[in-house]
Amino acid sequence: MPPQKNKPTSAAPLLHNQLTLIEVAEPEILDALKMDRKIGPLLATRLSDCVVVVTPGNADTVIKHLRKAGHTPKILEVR
Amino acid sequence: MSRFRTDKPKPISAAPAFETVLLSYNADAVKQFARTFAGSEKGRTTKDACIRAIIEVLANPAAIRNMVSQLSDFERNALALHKLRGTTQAAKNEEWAVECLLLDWEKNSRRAPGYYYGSHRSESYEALNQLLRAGLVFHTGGSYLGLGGYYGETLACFVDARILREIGTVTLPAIRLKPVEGPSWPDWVKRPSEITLRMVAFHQALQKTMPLALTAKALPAKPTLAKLNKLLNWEEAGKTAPPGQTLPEPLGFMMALWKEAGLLRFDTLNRTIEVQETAAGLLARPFAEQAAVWLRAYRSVTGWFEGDIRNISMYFDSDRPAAPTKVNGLRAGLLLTLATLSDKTGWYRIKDLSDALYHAIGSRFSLGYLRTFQGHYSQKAADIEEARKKVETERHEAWNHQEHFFLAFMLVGPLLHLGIVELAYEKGKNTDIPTLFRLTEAGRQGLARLYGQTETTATQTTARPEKQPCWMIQPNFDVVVYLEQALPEQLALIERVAERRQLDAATATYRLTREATYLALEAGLQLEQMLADLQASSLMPVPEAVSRSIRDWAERRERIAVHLLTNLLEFDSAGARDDALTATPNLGKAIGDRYVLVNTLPKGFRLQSTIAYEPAPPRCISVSESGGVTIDPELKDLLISGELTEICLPDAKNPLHWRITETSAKAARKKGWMTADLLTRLAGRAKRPLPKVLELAIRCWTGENQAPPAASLERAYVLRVPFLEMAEALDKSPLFKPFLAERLGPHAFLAHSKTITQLQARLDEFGFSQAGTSLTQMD
Repeated sequence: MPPQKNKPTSAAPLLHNQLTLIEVAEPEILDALKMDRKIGPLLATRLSDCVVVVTPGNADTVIKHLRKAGHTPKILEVR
Repeated sequence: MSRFRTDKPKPISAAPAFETVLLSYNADAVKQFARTFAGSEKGRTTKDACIRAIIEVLANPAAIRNMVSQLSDFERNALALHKLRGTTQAAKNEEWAVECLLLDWEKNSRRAPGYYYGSHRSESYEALNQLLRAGLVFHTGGSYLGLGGYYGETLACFVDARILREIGTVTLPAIRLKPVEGPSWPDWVKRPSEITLRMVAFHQALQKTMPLALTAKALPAKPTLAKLNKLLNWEEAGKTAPPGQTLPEPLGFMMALWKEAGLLRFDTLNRTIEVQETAAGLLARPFAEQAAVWLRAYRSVTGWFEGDIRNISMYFDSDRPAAPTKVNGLRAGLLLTLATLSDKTGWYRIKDLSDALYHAIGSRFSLGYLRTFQGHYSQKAADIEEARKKVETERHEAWNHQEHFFLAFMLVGPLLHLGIVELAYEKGKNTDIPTLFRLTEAGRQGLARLYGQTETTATQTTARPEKQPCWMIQPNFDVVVYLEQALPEQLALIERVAERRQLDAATATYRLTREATYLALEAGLQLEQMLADLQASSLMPVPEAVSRSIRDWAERRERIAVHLLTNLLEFDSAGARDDALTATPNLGKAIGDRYVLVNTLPKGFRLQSTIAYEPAPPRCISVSESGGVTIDPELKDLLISGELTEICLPDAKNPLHWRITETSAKAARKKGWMTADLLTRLAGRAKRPLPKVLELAIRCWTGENQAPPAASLERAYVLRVPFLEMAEALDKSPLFKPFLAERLGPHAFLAHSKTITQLQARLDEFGFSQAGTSLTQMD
């Protein structure tokens, strides 16, 4: 993660809105996804060992590729 | 095209009160209405007086009852047929007109004898028009009293609710149709369980295909139909079915049927189709009750036809493919005739039914052009009779070629597939499709309900069957469902959790698969509930290996979760994040060091700012001509650093500064970035358009084919000669000319760089070098 020292310091957090994330059970799964020729380029910043941000506008494509690759991702939508 | 035709279907409006439209009719019409409502009265000559008389009757329920008692049987029955469709709805003119023709309408005709012009289009409305002339039915389209002709059938016709309130049940007309001897068992039959399964499968497919899209013409969109077709596989199954046993366009039929049954709502504003919650409830009701709903809906189905209508000169607005047509009228006529069959369990010939309908309505109704006879005054009576017979013969032949086939298609198609009739081949007759039909139990009850024959249905209503085990789950994941024992909710469950492989008359075979389990869980089913439901309806315990596999499949789903368009909080530090989570228990789930995946953001929760990522992340970088990239700290989002890493080099001193160079561009290209994508990525995030020079440089660095050829600085040599005479000589010399590109001045030449060695040798050879010539290299 890039350092945040240039950001205005404030106790209040920043809200990242309408962001699609992939969360996996084990870091190895995410490593494998990153290496995948079709899925990898659609994944952006890794927030933790098990969570990665999907590039905006590519949520459906990622899900499609995950399904094609034999995964059965749990789709969680904000109500 | 008539001015009454509109581009879009008119919304069905609630019935207005009769008084509100009375003024729009002319005096003659209102006088006729007054005779119907208040009887004949001397001195009531003005329009106002007539209107007053009508209003007085409408204000007094006893007077309305009295008026209704004076109506003819035809009028009462016709109004009763309309009442069965609901008191506040506009009449379904096409259907009602044909039903009216089937009633004994000519016996008590209010029309004065005389010559009337009747077009082939207005004939079928003649019985209904009688009600309009009497004021029992009114429309809001002006004072013209008749439907048909230039006045479209789309005019919304109503009956005043106060009159309908006094109308009783309908007495069905007597249509003579003789039963024939038939077999004990039908040759073609669809069992209720098979039909219910079809309906349940369709319901499940609709829910799996959400959202269902609608076109601008209010028709289901092709991608939606393609998805449904793929899920239902009806078209493919139809190819293997015996000829004639399949419905044409089964999906189109089902969509239209469900729409008319009120189970699908076509939202033309948002261009979506919504599945109504009542659908599951209807499918769970006894089949006989469902049959009445399907019959009512089938009668009004639009946009789908039993046969090929291309050769019929049927008049309907091409801009409204879902407008009612005369086929709706024929369906209404057929259903009313079926309801009047004397022997409810007997076999009948389809041809006899067709002939009976022809004799009842054939002289006034045709799907296409109606042949009518107009005798000429100068003709002899015998000639007129002969000509009339000729026209009647032609009309009957036309009926046999057109309406008869449609009637046969209606019986063999929708009515068979909705379980209303069963069919059989006639003994000794070799035909492609059966020629005999009889009503099923559900058909009899459905028709009785449709026409309000309550005393019949009361005794025949079947109780809701008890839920019982209805399938066997085998160790190879196959599930054999015994359809006769299955309730709709059990069929709905198995349709959700397994893939249908085979369908027979009595059983259906499904397979439990990882994909089906996944889709069922995605649709909201809970694993434990699913296993419990599978066990509850199973005749034998679910094999251990099957349950284990289902659990494994469900567990696999938990390994990867996609949080769609979610909210994420970014804190300055892990401590700040943990404090916030402690202070707000339901805030969300901690991710990494400083993030929280938001569950619910409490009202008034203090935020530094909000960055939205859809439809596109914010533009937060500035790009200079020299390749410098600076991130705006105020707008810096989660993705930008990762994106820049791919195509730029970081500044070790300042994390907000990056640089795109030849090396970084080439590295990006090597990683698989296309030049266009690289430029799009930068341009999409830059606050201002990319500098042109940098764009060209990136194209050149990445070696894009379309990039202009790289400019090159060629080494130039200048030959200087000391004398003008020598210069003139060299200029004209064939020996030196090939080495010299251009004369730059009186004493100077530009020499070709490639042949500079030969030129030097030649100068040496001729001694010019010693004479003071010089060859100078220029940069």
